Amino acid sequence: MSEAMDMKLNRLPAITWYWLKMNEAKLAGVETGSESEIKAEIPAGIEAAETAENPLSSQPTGMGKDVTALVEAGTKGVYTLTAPKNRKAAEAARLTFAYNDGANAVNAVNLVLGDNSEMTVIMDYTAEKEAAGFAAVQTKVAVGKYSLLRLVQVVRVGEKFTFLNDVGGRCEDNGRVEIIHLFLDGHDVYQGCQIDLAGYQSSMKTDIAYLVKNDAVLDMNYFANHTGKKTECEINVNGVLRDKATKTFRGTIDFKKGASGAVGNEKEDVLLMDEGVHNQTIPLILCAEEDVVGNHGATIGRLDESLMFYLESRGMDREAINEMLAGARIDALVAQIPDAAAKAEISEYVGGGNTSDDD
Amino acid sequence: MAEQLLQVRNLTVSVDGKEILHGVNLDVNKGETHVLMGPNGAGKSTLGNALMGNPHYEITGGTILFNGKDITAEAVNDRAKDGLFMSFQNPLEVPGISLSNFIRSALQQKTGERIRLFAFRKQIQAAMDVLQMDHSYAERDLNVGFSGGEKKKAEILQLLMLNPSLAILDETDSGLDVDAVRTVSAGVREYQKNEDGALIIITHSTRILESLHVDHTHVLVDGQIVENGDAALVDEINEHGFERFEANEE
Amino acid sequence: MAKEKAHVEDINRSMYDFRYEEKDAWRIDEGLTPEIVLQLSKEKNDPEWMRDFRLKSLDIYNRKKVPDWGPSIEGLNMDEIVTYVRPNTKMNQSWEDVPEDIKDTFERLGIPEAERTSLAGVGAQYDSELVYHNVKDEVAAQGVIYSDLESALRGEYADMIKEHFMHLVPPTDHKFAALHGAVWSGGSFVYVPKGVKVDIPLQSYFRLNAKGAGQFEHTLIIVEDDAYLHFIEGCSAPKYNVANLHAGCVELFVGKNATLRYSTIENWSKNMYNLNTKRAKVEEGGKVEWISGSFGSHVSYLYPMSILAGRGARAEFSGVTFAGNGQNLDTGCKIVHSAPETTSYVNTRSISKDGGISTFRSSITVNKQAVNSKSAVSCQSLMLDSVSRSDTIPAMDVKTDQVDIGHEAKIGRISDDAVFYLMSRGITEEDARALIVSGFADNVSKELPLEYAVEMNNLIRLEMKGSIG
Repeated sequence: MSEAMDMKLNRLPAITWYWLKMNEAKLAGVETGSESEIKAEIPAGIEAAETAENPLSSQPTGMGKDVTALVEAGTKGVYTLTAPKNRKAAEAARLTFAYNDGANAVNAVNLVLGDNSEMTVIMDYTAEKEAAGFAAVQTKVAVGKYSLLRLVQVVRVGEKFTFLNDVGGRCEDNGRVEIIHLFLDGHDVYQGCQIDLAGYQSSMKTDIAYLVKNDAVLDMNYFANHTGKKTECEINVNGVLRDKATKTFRGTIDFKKGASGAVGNEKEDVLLMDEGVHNQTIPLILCAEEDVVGNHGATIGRLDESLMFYLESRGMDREAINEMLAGARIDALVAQIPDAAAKAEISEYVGGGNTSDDD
Repeated sequence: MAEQLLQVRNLTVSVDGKEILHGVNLDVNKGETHVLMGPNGAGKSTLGNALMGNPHYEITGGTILFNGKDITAEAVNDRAKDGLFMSFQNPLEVPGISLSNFIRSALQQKTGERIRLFAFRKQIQAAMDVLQMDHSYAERDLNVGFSGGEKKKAEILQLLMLNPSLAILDETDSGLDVDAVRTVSAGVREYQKNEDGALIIITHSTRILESLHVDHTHVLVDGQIVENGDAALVDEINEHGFERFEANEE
Repeated sequence: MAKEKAHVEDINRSMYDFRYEEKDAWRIDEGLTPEIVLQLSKEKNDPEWMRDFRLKSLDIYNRKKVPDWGPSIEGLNMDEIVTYVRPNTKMNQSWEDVPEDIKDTFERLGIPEAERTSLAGVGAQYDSELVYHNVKDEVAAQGVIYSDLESALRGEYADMIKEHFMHLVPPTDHKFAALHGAVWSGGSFVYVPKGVKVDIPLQSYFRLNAKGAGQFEHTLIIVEDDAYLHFIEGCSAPKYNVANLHAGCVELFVGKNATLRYSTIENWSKNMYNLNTKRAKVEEGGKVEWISGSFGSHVSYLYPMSILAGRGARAEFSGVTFAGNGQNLDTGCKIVHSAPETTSYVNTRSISKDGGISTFRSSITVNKQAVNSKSAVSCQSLMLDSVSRSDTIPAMDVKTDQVDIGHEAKIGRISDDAVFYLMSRGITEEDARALIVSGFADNVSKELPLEYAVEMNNLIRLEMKGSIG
């Protein structure tokens, strides 16, 4: 039995004028999917299990309740990776989601870190270049005291694919999560990410890079929820829009009352390369606490004129310069992937077929 | 004879819960110039800030007497009114208020009387001339966009205009080039002309002292004064550094 | 050493909280029906088109919803608010003719002094009707028209007004624009002919002085090509128990290569609902400068909007919002880049204290044809304690690639080091904090004529003993 859902996703924690059409994203007629197979490479020290019950079911996520409902409707359980207390796993765990043409897949993943542990997880979402289909993956994380989660999620699904990547998690005292998000391919990609910085001195760093081209759409909603004291967040977004691409970035730093000593920094840099692009940016800072420091910045548009001049004086033409710098943004983040094998693979994927227009 | 101005007894000071000064004693009389030296991290700035009443520096024991009055718990602005002044190591920018208006209001606060504009302008320009400061700085927002040297000069300008009885100069010569040090020294000498103007010069190099008259020198190491002397002590430190004092302390 | 912090005193309102007993003034029926709108229109001797316009607007008003994305306006009960109060006076040309108590109200607000310091003219509105009106000879000789809007509807410029009235802010824009369209009353009309540079700022005052009265004044300013005008708007209202509403409207038309500077200090009393709509349209090479200080009212919705319609048009917006106890001020600006090479510059500061809520809400929209446009937005917020709120909700919507759009926002608290520094020069802690907050608001105060800057600084720095800066 599958009922089509009309979904609302990626809603801003504080909405603004409706005529801007930026408060949230909508998807109509989404049919319930079924669980897809996850190809997993688990290193020693990390426990993998499939459980029927989801102990993190009440954890809010960036995309919202509708995605949770969609995922719960289509899955029988949740795939959980656990780093036990005091275990610092040296190697990364690799989860690959390979989608076929015509897919309608949903998955629920939990990443749980016991106190004093460390885990690196690479989640790779792939499909054939011409594949059309739908998939949604909801990842919930629980970061224990003094533990560190490095999470890399790479979206390189088909050019006609619709993909929902939802993340939600909570950090305990001195817990830290470092996220890398790479948006390399896909037609309609929705990304939500909410991290609750609840524990004392817990922190979050998120680095995002994207390249959206043709008539693809990328819709994002990041939310750093500071409730603990001396918590820190850093969100860096670097992207390129080409052709007739559309991109919406919502980034919220929320200093709740009591989060004294908290620091939040958010920076978005978007390179617009063709006249048909459409960029929407809405960086929010919400604050109910005096003793905080919050900064956000955004630069949108073309390359700096003086930089252009410098490169042109070295013999490059504008088009070549744009190509080079556009690729550079993605490459810079790929270089930070904390796993050699994954880094090499993604590097090749990016270098191979991603920077030029289709022909 | 020497009139007592400042008496510090067994002062212990903590920052963020950590004790930096462990029982400091210091006496400064009217008109005297004292130099406080020591290696980095000794606690010199801590002493200066604690004397001025910076709430970030917590006095956990001991007393500070100024002109016979116990000012250990006194508010910062009241200490300023009593005649204490500090030239900051890193003067902050305060947009929205001009340098001259700022000085004029501070003076008005101190004397409780309105300052006549014409006389004030003459006075501030004369002081700026001593410091070789362009008069246009008077109308610029306090320290906004000033270079390091200009900020220090602005501090000494305030010193000359406010004319305190005890001025604490916190690393005033750090970050300055040769000419700037010379000009700042000229400003300090101008202040010294006032017979009752006392000075505590905090420094770990001695460039600023070259042309100044020094009465007493104190060496601070690891939060304690390990040596007291006269001007000759400055020369000794120039020659041999602080090794002797660091080796000696338990 | 005492660690407890002193605070910036709430703006001293007592100076403004005085009022007069209403004297046999005519009041419209409470509640809003077509009959009442017709009655109002007849009373004003509206031309037919205006009467129809009002009725259509009322219809739109009844159909539109109250906004749900901003502060609650539940405390406002439209059915209870009297929309029209008229005192027993006709239009006046000179100060001497104004009735004593009305004169006294404005006297205490400092208007006569402003007159003495050679401002061009003062149009003052007392409870929905212009009472005092005076245009200086030199300005009139240049061909500048400064009159009340109602009588201008029947004068030489009637057609021009009909062409422009509520074209920039149509009644369909939002519920309170529709309300305004139905019951607007009073306000100024200014026309500056081609090439005329008005050296002296024109100013206008509004005052609310009756229980439950609302103010719906309409300001229409047309600045022709190559002209220059500075218009100042400042207002105040006393305190009441019944909710008070201000749903005014300002429409500014800036011609080619012309410049219009529009300065406002809003100091409505703390029970006011200030739902004001201001909009400017700027032609080729023209420039609009908004200078805005928002200090009063219980709830505010205020987002002056600039439409850059011609090549090279420019908008600048400098604003300060101070939200204290019991206030929820939702302010900001909107800029639309609709032509090539247009530029915008936004610089706002906001301060929240004592449970006040301040929200900075903005939008920068760059349309497809706005090639080679640039925009820079900077908003800073200062939190003075942990019972207040400060939210920043800026949106950017860009539909072409050859642009340079930059945005930055900061939030934080008063630096302890800065307080210490000022105190070390003898300034009390209270004064030091007030000084820092004043300095923080200097993006606006330095753009205002001295009298206004002083009023603004006084609003901020209350218990000062001496005068600073």
